[in-house]
Amino acid sequence: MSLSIEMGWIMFKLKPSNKNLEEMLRLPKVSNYDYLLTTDKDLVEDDKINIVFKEAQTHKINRLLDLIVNGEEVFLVGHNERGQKRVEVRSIQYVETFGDDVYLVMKDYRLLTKNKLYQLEKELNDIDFIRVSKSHLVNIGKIRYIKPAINSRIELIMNNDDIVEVKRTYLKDFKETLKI
Amino acid sequence: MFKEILIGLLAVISILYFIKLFRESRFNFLLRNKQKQMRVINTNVNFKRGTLVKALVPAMTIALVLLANPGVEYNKFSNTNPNVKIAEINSKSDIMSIYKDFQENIKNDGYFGRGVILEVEKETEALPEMTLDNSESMPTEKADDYSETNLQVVGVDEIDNVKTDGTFIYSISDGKVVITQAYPAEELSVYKSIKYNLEEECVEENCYSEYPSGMYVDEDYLIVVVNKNTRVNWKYYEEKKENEDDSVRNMIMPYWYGSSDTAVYVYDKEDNFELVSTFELSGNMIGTRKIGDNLFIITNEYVNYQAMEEDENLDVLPTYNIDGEEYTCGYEDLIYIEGTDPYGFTNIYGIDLDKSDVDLETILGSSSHNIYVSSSNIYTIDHRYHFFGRLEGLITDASENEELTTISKFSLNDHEVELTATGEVKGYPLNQFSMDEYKNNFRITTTTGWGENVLNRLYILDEDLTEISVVGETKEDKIGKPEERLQSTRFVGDIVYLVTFERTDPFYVFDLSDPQEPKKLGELEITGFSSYIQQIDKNHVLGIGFEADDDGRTTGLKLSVYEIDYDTVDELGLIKVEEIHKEVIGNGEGSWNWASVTYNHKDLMFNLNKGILGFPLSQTITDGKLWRHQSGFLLYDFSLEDGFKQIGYATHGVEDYNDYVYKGLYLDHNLYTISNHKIAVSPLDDVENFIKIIELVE
Repeated sequence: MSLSIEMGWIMFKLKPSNKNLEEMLRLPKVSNYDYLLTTDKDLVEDDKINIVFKEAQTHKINRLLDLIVNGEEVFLVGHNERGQKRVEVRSIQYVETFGDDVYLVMKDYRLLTKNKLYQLEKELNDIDFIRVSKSHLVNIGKIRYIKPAINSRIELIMNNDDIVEVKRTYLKDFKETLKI
Repeated sequence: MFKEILIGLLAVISILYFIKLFRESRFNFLLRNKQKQMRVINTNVNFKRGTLVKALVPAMTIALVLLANPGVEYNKFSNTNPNVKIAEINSKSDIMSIYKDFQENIKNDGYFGRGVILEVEKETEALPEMTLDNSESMPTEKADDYSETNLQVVGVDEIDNVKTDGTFIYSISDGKVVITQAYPAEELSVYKSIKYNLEEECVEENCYSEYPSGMYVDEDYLIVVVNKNTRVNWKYYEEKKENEDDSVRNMIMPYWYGSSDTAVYVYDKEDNFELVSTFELSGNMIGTRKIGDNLFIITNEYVNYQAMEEDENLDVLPTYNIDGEEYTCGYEDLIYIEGTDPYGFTNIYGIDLDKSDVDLETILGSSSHNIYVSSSNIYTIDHRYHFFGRLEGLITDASENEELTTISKFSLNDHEVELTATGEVKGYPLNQFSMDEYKNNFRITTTTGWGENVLNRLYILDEDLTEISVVGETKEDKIGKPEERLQSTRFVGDIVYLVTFERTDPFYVFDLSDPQEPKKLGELEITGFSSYIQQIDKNHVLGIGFEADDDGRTTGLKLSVYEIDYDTVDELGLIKVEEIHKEVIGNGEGSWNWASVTYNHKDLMFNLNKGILGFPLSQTITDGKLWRHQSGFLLYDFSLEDGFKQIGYATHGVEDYNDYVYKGLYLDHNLYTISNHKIAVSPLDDVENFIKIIELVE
């Protein structure tokens, strides 16, 4: 069975709470959760999916969580003057349109794709891409820093140092998406 | 009052600033939390370094295990390069495991893999037919002075679609090699033509066809290199399928596949162009050179892993065939450079034309499409992939890394070829002129990245392909302005000329006499750019390329002469570089020009002593209502003092995209222009006035 799960559904909770371990497992703070991670088998909960592990296995658990969260890899095909290339969507910084052209912006190059922005928005929404303006669809995983200005403008500094602005009309959705 | 306002203002500003800070920290907290949930590690300013390291330790361990790829042994020959790993191959299972590891890595990294490949049988030999022999005795008169192919390296001949030996012009027309008596001009006539199986012939599962891709001519031989195509005959399978033959039905794949091989036919000039030997080499030719009596052919061929996997006893190895006798390469002759694409073999064939002997060296790796050949070594280049697999997102983006190019160096001892060194550089070379060998050192220019991240580099490697120095790695010694890519390179001894372009053409001169410390001597910024450069003499360089406006839009073709004055040094310590002559063939309103010489150096006819420079030029011209296409050979009177003066434009009067003048050459005082169906001759000083024009078609 393949793991194809919508993002936003999978939440992990560690019991008993251990700050160090939470940090190592990169667990966000959650109130609701589907998966219970525990080092004590007496703490398992009936209505959850329970993973019992030993502290020494932390790195294995980390990898398992990656696999569960990332699920299936999703690829997009684009091309530039060097030819065609297939990229895993999570390595895309953001998607940008110029007129009718849609570009997948990678760290240091960009690819022209045949997909339309609205199609990509629909497809990639589950993988935490978010529309921030008429011409930009941003990979949340590639935002390095959020820089709000004094007025309600917000700039996103991407991992490749590009700056993408969140337009006013998309601000509400953007805030909503950030809240887990 | 003023004080209160000021305090009020400050308070408002502070509050606003506080709100901004609060929002900023709130947003970034949410972002980090969200990214944690997405299991993305970001090198954020807020991020605690210790945590990152702790989290990375187990991941790095896994990455190291993955990268080390246990099970493959390294070091077959004395490879001294720490960056390059060589895998030894002794059996079929070795190459199968290399393939599987690579497939696995490719899958994890999201690169393209290749589809299913169907094996097709090699063509049984079909000898070319000779036709149109309309001469009783062979002409022997020869011009004293005639064009030779414009070569990158003196003494290393390059294949071309037109050649001359002073008596005959050899050209390719409609899949035939046409031998035309060219000297004396009045006698211009077709002497002989050699026909190849251009039409596809289908025999059961396969369809065959062949096409001459180029020629060499020397004192003794005419050597024709032919591309042989074998294609799966789907009709045959369709028919079988209708007959409900299950075994065959299962074989039908949704992929269309054929193979391409290379044949070399050697004709004896003394013996009225009799075919004296035939070499059939597996793989599609990607490059060739000829040094004396030794011919080198480099081919690529796909490895049919699927078929090998299905059939335990099947071996798919490079084969060659000398006059009907077949030889196959052994597994132990194969070499694999870790990280390169193992989907195919790159074969380097050395052929002794006199002794009809072949030497073959094969590397498992097929991304090589660019070669450089000096008088004693062949250099092939390959793309090397980065693999980080599923840990990609955790450590770094595989796609975000720079391109790597591996270099394989094969030494030449007569026709014997042997891999002697491998090396690696960042970026990708543009063409054969991006590479050079001088005093045993290998020099290469590469470009990597896009947009603002473009980096152009100039590497000097020693004879073991170990880096001696590199220019362009840091901001301070960057080659070209931001966003500019290398457009042409020409190495001449201790000097290298470089052209980069985005909006204007910076032309650079570097001194490489100290390989440890290459030094920029001078630069010049002008409009347009040269895509081909050739040194005329120590102080003058010819550039051929495009003129452009200030925004970098090309507006036509351009010929330039750069003058380099090594003795005049300015206050910055740079020598004086000037564009002393410039000729622009402008596109004009609604018209455009196209010249193959901008990317194919072999289409340039240039002789400083004769004072001539010419190349084929195609034009589309409009009078505002109608479009007209014309092609011809544009000839200039050229001297360093006076620059370019147009002599004339020789056209064959054809207005057809498929029939254009594609080459011009001179024999003594006459210009010969060759189009697909005609050869015309006219005096060099009056090129538009033909002495004779002949048809090449029967």
